[in-house]
Amino acid sequence: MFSFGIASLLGLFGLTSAFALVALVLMAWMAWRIVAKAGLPGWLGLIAVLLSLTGVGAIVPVIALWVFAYMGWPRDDMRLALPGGMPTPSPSPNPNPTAPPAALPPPMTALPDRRGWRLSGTVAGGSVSLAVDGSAPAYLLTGAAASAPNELCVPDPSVASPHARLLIAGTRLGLEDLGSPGGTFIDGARLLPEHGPRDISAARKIRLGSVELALSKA
Amino acid sequence: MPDVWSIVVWMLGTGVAWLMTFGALVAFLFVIGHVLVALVLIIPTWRICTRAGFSGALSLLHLVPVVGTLVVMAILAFSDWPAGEAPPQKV
Repeated sequence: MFSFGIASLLGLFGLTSAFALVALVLMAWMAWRIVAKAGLPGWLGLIAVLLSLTGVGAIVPVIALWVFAYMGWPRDDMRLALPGGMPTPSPSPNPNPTAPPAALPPPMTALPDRRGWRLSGTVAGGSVSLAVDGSAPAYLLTGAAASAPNELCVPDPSVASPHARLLIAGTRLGLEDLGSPGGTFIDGARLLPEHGPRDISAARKIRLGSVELALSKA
Repeated sequence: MPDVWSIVVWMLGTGVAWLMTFGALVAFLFVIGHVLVALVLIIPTWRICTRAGFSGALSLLHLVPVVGTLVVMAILAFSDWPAGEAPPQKV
């Protein structure tokens, strides 16, 4: 009876250890993949997790997690440096959203489609339809009344003033969030100010605050 | 004068009550500790999820004991990031 209890206890410990070992290997593998997706060497994530086996215990992976969350990711620079990518954004949200933005680089393959863009949706007071005809290189999306030709008004309380910027380069359309509290989303994915301008030519919906706008060719 | 059985029952009752109080205290401290540890993980994970294009609320899975962290990591590791990924590197 006593030996059976000891055996059960050892079995439980063994099972727990086996689970911990499998979990550790899985976590190391997944950390590798996550870190690699951010553009860093994958072995950094592997080492960060495996350091939990050392005497310093779990504090190193936790510190590494915080550093990873708040450091700059090479992914952002890589994506912007790719052919056809958007220009490198400023490291912090643009402090002067009314300043003229840098022009988008020319597209890789210019399609002979010179139609403008249209953003349409519903706001608190009815519907809104914004024409982006390309007469200006950039447009400000704002919740306040438009005071300039390159301002597009989305009259909704959840839309900041200004909220985001539309950029036009040839047949492509870019979108940049200006640090709006309501947030900007491209097909459901959050666009942060540190992402910089993002090509939305192939996007279907953008959301400013709580206003969802369908993107289409005019 | 109380008989022996009354004293035994009283002692047993007191012991059980003490044990239950102690157990509740331990459970309470365990929950508080778990939430605090989860919070230390949730804050950076929230930012990572947001930067990857996922909802930050995904990081609340850290509140699930034992497997929550594994699930969050699995989602981040094995799904396509809506905000884009770095191209695969040659090892």
